[in-house]
Amino acid sequence: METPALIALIAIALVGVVSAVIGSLGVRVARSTSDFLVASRTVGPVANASAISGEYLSAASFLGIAGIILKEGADALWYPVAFVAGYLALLLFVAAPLRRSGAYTVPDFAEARLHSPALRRVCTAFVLVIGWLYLLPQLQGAGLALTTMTGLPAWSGVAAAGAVVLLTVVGGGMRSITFVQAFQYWVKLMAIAVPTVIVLGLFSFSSSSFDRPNAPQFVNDTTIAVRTDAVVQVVEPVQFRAYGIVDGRGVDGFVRWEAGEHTALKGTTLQFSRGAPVPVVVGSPPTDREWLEPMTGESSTQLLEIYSILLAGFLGTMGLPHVLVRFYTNADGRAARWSTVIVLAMIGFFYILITLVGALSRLYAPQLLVTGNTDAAVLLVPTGAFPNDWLGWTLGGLISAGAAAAFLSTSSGLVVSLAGVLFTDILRGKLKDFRLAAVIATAVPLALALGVSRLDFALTVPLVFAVAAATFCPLLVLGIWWRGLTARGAVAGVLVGGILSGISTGITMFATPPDNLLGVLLERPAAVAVPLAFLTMIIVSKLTKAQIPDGVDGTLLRLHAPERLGLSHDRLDPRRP
Amino acid sequence: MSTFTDGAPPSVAPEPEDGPGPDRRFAEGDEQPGEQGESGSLWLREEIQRRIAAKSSGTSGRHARRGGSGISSTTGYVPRHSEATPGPGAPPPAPVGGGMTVMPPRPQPPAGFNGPVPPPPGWPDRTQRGRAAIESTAPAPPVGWSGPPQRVEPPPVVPSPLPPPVPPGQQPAANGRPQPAPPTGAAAARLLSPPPSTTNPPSTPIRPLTQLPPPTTPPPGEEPGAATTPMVAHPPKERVLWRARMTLPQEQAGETGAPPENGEVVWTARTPPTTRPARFALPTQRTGELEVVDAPPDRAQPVAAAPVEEDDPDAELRARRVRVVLAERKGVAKPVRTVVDIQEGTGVGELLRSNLIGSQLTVALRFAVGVALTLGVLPLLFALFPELGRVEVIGIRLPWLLLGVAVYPFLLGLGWWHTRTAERVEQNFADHVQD
Repeated sequence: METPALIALIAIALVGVVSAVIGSLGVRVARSTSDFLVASRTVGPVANASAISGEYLSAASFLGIAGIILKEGADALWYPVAFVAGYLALLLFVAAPLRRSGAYTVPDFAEARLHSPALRRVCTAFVLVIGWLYLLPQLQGAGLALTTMTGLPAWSGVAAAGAVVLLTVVGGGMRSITFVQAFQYWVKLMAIAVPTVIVLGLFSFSSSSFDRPNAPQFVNDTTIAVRTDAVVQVVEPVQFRAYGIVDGRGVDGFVRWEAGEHTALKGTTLQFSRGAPVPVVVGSPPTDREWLEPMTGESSTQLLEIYSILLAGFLGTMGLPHVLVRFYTNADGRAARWSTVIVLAMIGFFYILITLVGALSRLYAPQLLVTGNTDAAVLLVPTGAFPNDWLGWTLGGLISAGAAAAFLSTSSGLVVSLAGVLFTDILRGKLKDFRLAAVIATAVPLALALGVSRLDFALTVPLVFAVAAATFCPLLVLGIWWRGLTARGAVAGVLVGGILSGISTGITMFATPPDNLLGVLLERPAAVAVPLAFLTMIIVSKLTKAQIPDGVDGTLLRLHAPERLGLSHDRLDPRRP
Repeated sequence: MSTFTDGAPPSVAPEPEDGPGPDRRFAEGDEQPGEQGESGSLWLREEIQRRIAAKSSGTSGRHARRGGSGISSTTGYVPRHSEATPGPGAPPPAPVGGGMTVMPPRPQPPAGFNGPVPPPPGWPDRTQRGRAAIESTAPAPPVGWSGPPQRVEPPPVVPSPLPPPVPPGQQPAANGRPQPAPPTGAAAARLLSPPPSTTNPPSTPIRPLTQLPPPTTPPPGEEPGAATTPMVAHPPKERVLWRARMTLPQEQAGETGAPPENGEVVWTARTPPTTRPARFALPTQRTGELEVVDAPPDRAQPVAAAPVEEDDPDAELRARRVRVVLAERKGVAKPVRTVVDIQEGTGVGELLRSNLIGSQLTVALRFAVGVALTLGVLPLLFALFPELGRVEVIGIRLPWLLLGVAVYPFLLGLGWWHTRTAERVEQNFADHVQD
C-alpha cells in the first residue's frame, strides 16, 4: 500500500480506537436506563453543544457539502446555509419547550402531548425510517473514504464503521456517546482547519485564480477509473490516453476530445497529464467562471431547487431524531436554548471552513469532476496541493481522521437515537434490550449500505431532511404552539407528509426521476410535502376539535413556563405527580 | 401538582433554584435568618420552645394579630395581598365603619380558581382530612381576605414539597399601630408548609381573650404558623377600615362553637355566620378585642357574632395547641397562588398562560420570518440581477462572501438575540406569577 494510503489508514484507525476507548470509559458510569438514554441530564451546555455539533456534522457535512461546492459552485452554498438555518429554527420553535416536555424521544413527546398510542406508533415508524435513511449514506460514505484513501474495497469501510459504532453504543449508550461526540467534533474541526489553512496559504502565494473562463486544470498526472458511465462536457480541446470505450468506440491510447459532449463507459481508464483541462460532467458548470457565479442553471428550476433546499433544511433539522434526542441531555429548557446557540456558533464556524476547502478543491482536486462523484473532494485536496510530499500525506491522513470521526459521530448518534426509540417503543423495557436495540438499529442500514449502490450525498441528505420536514416538523411546531392540535390531526398530517416525501425519496434513490419540473419536485419534495402536511394537520385537527386532549392547557403551560416555577417534570421520573 | 394555599408563605429557606421570588417575601426583613437552614427535629424543638416563649412574651408569629404597621416587623414577610389590596376575587369591602352584623360571605376564590388548593389552615376541611396541623388560631379570617380559595373538598395533600402560598391577607396596612416583633419562631413556623396529617395535633397557643393585652401590646402567644390573615384584628375604633373587611371582633366574639376535637382541626377561628367557616389562622393576638381565637372549630356553622373579647374557657385549651411541622419543605418550587391559578386554568391563569405562549410565539415567528425573508430574497436577487454575482468585495465574490461566510455570524447573532428575548419574556411571566 502506498504511503499516503497507509497514513490515512492509520489515522482512521486511531480515531476509531480512541472513540471506542472514550466510549468504554463511559460504560462504567452508565448503569441505569436513564443513564443510558439521556446521559442522566448531567452534561453541561458546552459539552452538550460540542456533542450536538459533533453529531450534526456528519459525513454529509464533512465530505458531501465540499463535494457539492466543487461541482456546482456558488449554487451549492445554499446547502450548508439551509442546515444552519434549520438549527436556528430549532432554537426558535422547539428547543426549550421540547426539553421541558420531559420526553425522551419524539414519539414520547407525541404521546405526552396528545395521549395517543396510535400517533406514537406512527412516529416511531417514521423515526426509524428517517434514521435509517440518514444512516445509509453515512455508512456508504465510510466506505468511500476508505476506498479513496487506501484503495481497500468499499464494503470493508462500511463494515468497519458499523462495527465501531456498534461497540461504542452498546458499551455506554448515550453518555459515552456524548463524550465521544464531543471529542469527534474537535477532531473534525482540527482535521478541517489545519489543512484548509495550510492549503489556503499555498493558494494565496500561488498565482492561481478562480476567475478563469477556462475549465479547471489537473494539478498532477491523474488516472481516472470510470465506474459508472460518464457523460462529460469539454470546453477546450483536450488530449489524453484512454483504455476502454470512449464515445462509443473502443480505444487504447491517445484520444483527443474537441469541445462538446463526450462519453466514457464504465470500466474505462482515462489518463490525463498535468495541466490538461478537466472535462466536467454534464450538468455542472464546465468553466471556473461559471462555477464562480450563482444561478448557473436554468433559472426557474434552479430557483425551485434552491427554495426547496432551503425549506427542507430550515424545517427538517428539527425533525431529525439524532438531533432531537440530544436535547434531552440538557439540564433544563434554558440550558437547551443556550447550548443550541453554542451549536450554531460551532457548526457555523465549521461550515465556513468547509466552504473554503470546497472552493479550494476546485483547484486541487478537479479530477473528480469527470465522473461527477465529488464526495471525496476534501480527502484529495492535501495530496493535490502538495503532491508526493510528506506534508500532503500528513494532511491527507488528518482529513481522513476527520472523515472517520464524522462518520462515527453521526452514525453512533443515529444508532443511539434509533435504539432508544426501538427500546422504549418496541422492545419496551430492560437494559439488556437497549443493547439489542442498538444491534438492530445498526444491522438494518448496514445491510442496506452493503447491498445498495452508492448514492450521491447531495441528493440523499436533502431528501432525508425533506422527510423530516414533512413529518416531524409540523408535529413539533403545532404540538408545541397550537392548543388545537388533536391526535387524529397529527396522525393525518404525519402520514400525508411522510408518504409524499417517502415516495419521492424512493423514486429518487432507486429510479431515475424525469428531467423536468416534476422531476425536480420529486427530487426535492419539501416545497410540496411540507405545506401539505401542515394543512392536513390543521384541517383535520379542526374537524376533530372535540378530541383535544384534556389538560392541554396544563401541558402547554409546562412546555412554556420557565423552570423556576417548578412545573416541569421528567417523563420517566417516578416521583412525578 | 398541588399547592398549599393556607396562606403559609414558602419555606423559610429559599431553595437554590428559586428565583428572587421567595426572597421578596422576606423583603421586609427576615428576622429569622438563622432558622432557615435548620431542619428536622432539632428545629422543631427549638420552634416549639420559641413559640412557648413567644406566647408568654405576647408577641406572635405570623399569625399574630397586629395593627397594620407591625406586620412587617412581626413576620418580616410580606403577604401578597393585604387587606388594602386584596387579590383578585376578593369580595368588595363592606361599608367602612359599618358594623357588620352579618358576616359577609366568605371571600370567593379568584375567578375560575378551582384547583386543588388546600383550604387555609383551620379550615374545617382540614379536619375532615385529618389535617391536624392547622393553626389553631382562633380569630376568624377577615372576610375580605381573598386568600385561599374557599373550597369544600380537601385539596390533594402534598405534604412537603409545596409550601403554602403566601397568605394574601398577611399584610395589613401599616397604620401606626406599633407592632411587636414576632418571635422568631413564629415566622419560621409560619413559613413551613402545613404538615401532613401525621403531625401531632397542633396545640395552638391561642391566647385566651383574657390574656390579650390591649391592642397596642404585642400579640400574645404564638399560634403556629398557618396561613392567617395578619391584618385581621384591629381595634375597631382604630381600624375602621379593617373592620369593614374582617369579621368584626364583636361579631366574632362569643364564638362558642364546639370544643375542638382531639387533634383535629386546630383551627378555631370564628366564622362569619353566613360564610363558610372562615378558618383562617388569624394572628391571634393582634388586639385584645380581636382575640377571637376562642372560636372553637366551628367549621360548618355560621358563627354568631360574639364579642371577641369573650373569655372563653375553651380558648385556653385551644390555645394550647401548637402547630407542629414535622417535615421541612423540600421540593423544587414554591407554587404561589398565581401559579396554581395558571395550573388550574382559572381566568387569570388562562390569561397569563395564553399571554406567555402568545408572546413567545410572536417572538419566534418574528425571528423566523426575518430569517426567511433575508435568506429567501437572496436567490431572487441573484437570479434577477446577475451582475450581483460578479461584484467583488475584499477580493471575494459577493455571493461567496454572503452565503459562505457572512450568513453564519448572522444566524448566530439572531439565535443569540432570540434567546435573550425569549428569556426576558419568561422572566416577565415568572415575575408576574410569583409576584
